[in-house]
Amino acid sequence: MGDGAPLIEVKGLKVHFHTEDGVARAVDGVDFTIAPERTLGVVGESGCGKSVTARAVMGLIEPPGRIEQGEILLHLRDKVVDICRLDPRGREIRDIRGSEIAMIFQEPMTSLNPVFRIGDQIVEAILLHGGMGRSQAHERAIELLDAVGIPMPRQRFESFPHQLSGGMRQRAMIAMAMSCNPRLLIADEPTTALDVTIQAQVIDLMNALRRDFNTAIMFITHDLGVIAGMADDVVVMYSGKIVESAPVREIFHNPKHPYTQGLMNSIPSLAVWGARRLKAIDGVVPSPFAHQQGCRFAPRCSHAMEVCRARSPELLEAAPGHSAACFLHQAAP
Amino acid sequence: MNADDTLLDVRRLRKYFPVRKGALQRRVAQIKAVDGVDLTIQYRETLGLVGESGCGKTTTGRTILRLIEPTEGSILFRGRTSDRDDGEAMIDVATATPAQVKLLRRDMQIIFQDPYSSLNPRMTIGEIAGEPLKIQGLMTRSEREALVLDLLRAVGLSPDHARRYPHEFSGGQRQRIGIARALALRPQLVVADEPVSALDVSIQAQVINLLQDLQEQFGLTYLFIAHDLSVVKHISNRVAVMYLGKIVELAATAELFGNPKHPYSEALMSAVPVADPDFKAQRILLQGDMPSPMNPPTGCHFHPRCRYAQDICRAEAPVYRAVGDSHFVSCHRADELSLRGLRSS
Amino acid sequence: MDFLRRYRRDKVGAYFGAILLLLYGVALTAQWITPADPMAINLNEVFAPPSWRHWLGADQFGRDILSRVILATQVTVKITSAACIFAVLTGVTIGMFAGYRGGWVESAAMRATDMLLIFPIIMLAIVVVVVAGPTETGVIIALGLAQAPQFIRIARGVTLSVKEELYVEAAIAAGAGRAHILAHHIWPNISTPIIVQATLTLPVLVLNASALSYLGLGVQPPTPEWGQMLNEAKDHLITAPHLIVGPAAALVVFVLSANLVGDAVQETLNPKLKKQK
Repeated sequence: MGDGAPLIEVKGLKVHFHTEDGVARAVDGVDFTIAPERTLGVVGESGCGKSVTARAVMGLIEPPGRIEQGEILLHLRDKVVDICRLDPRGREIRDIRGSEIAMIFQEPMTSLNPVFRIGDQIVEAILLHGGMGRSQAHERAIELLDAVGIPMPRQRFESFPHQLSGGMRQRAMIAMAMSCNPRLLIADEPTTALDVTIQAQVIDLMNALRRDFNTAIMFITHDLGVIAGMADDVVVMYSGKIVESAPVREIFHNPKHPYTQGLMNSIPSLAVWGARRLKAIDGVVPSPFAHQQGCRFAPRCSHAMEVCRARSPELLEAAPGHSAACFLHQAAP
Repeated sequence: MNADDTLLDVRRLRKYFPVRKGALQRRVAQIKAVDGVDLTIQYRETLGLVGESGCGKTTTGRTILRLIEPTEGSILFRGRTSDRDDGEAMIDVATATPAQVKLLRRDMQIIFQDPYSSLNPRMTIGEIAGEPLKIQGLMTRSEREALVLDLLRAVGLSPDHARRYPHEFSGGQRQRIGIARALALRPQLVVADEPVSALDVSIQAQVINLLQDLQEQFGLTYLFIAHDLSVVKHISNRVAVMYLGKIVELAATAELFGNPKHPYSEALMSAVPVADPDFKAQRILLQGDMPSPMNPPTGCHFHPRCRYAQDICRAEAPVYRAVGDSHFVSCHRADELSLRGLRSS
Repeated sequence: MDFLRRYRRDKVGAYFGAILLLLYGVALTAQWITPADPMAINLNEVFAPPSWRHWLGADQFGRDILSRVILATQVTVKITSAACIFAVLTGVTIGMFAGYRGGWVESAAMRATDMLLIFPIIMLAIVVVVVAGPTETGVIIALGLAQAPQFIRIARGVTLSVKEELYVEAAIAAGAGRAHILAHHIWPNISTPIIVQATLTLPVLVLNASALSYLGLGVQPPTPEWGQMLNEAKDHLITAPHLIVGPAAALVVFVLSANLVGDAVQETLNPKLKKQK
């Protein structure tokens, strides 16, 4: 795809949850694009809206959640579809799920059915999207299990999910997600529940698959270290909005938004010796129910100015290819 | 090391959990969660205990506090043996009577990982932080309340939080409440069991800083249990690495990270993702998963995943021994291998 | 109070709650509000049909049926309340200790509970009545025992889950003993589901009490009880059909109200339940 057409364009996406306790603005105006075969890292803390964004792209928003505004354009080979306009239980989105976009989750146990053998679950996923007979699908499933590094795939085909370790389950999940060669793989904290040595194996695997399958990845995590090792581009989310967006090197070497800077300074690093005190970000993560004027980060920001408390900054380009939603980097209005 | 500075001296600690099956609940196997752990902790130091899930680090912490009954071994702790005692004698926690254990609890406390399950939703913050005092029957009600307000201030909360309930607080604030409760009895030793791993990234640093401040202010000694090597490296004076119920390496922090002697320590360090896209990690990818502690491998427990393993590793369990100044390791090949640590830059 | 405010939102629950309160009011003041002496035999008025003198007529001994229904309300409320308290106390005590202690104590308690559940309530009542005699106490014990297993199970279930909470471990780490943990951490969590179960149990107790006395195993004549009155009315169904109206209506209204109130209490205390419906 040399024409530079994006794979996914998200424009002005707002997803709100209407609960008894009020309206939670989980995603409150988010724009980004994912190019084919690129990996977009989405970083943020719990409640920042990163998982809800991913679910919206999968067309998985269900009541009490509602897409209030915006569009999610999926560029198919012959046409462009707005996922926001599709019936979340309709035929069209079901065809897209799995074959165009696939998703893996933090806890694979919840997405694998405990009463079926993992091999059969992969076979089902292949058959669902057609084009293969059962025996062919069976062979393909074994190939996939092998491709994701599950030893003795023929025997493992017969295993039930609970018979596998956490790392192996995540591999099986990835095999299932890759079964129809999706063009976009959404990975929602796929390594968070895993131990570091297993996490290293899974990241290694995903990097290898990205090369072999030419899949674009939307990689969601709170771990900056994982992002540094996986992503081509990064968006940083805070309280339902994107606060910064840039290629991975730019983000890490030249972070512009005070939140991104704070995040990087506040984590202890193996590479740093002798630092006695961490530079913590004060305050608490805002509740999605809170309706607050101005920049959402202003109450915790050491650079906050008057304008930050009055108006909400837009995500504007601060340097070529590098955008930040912060008045520090924008001409005074 | 001066023996008089030793607050805790754990020797050959073992905890086996029986696996029962069938209608008669017959014991069919045992899980060797802690399988011969030796460690000491000095006054006012932080000993980091790292390892992956299932390695037995949490069980070790709980057993030291006698929240879990040890199967074997001794836990010598310098604590009070009677109400009037100021705590100069070494007492074996493992064999202490229930009355002695109750007294010892004033000197050894715990901070939990999960800030949600660790606070009773039906109690106010003040009641939660003051509960240990009430249990121990210390102080009058009004003295307790005054002390609780001081504690809340010390952990960075406001005194008027005392009348509120846990659900009004965020994860980080709840963790502060749990810390206040642990400090209510003015303990010597605090076992911190993954105290920041359930918290948001931007909140972790606050709690780590708080723990360090409190250590200085109250003269605390920490056993800091975590799976996150970066956090452990940041906060600990010495670090112990655990694998399948055993400590495989223990040394001063700079020594362990700069000059690891056990292949597992080396692999663990190399697996940690570094927040720098230009950092070309020479990852040592360990093969497979940690074996089950129900049926650990013969010889050295780590040999099936070790890239340096030889015949002796498969046949014989290595001895846990000193290989330098206060550097302990349990590896047959510790002297000949030259392993890669983290360069100090 | 928050509970009352939320409860009142439920219209059905509120109306039937009022009716139930009224019935309890009748029970508490029965001595003073009966229009005639419910025990007074008057052979001149045997099977007298409803009239201004006897609103619900008179029975085979010429006793005023309305007065007997009112007194029966008192008897029923007394017996079922006592049985309910008996069931809650035994159930919660056994359930909490079994759940907290675990091991063979728990196994033994739960097997005993299963044994209780195997017996039909009538069998159980016959055994108790044979042992204790057909007295009020005997009936209360029989009714209470039959319901106790439900409370044992709830108390044990809550105890099992709460004792795994870290705040319980924190209390142990501070030196707390069993009594402190049961009183301060486990009991507060048990109270809500127990209240719900108690309100749901009440109509069952009323029906069972009536069933026992219908079979002659409950309250003995001449003390009136709805079931026993129905039994007597049955013998004169052709000649004096009005005998059946009073006790039947009272029973239906009481059980219906108690059921609806039970549902409403449950929904008020567990709002999630309603949403799922």
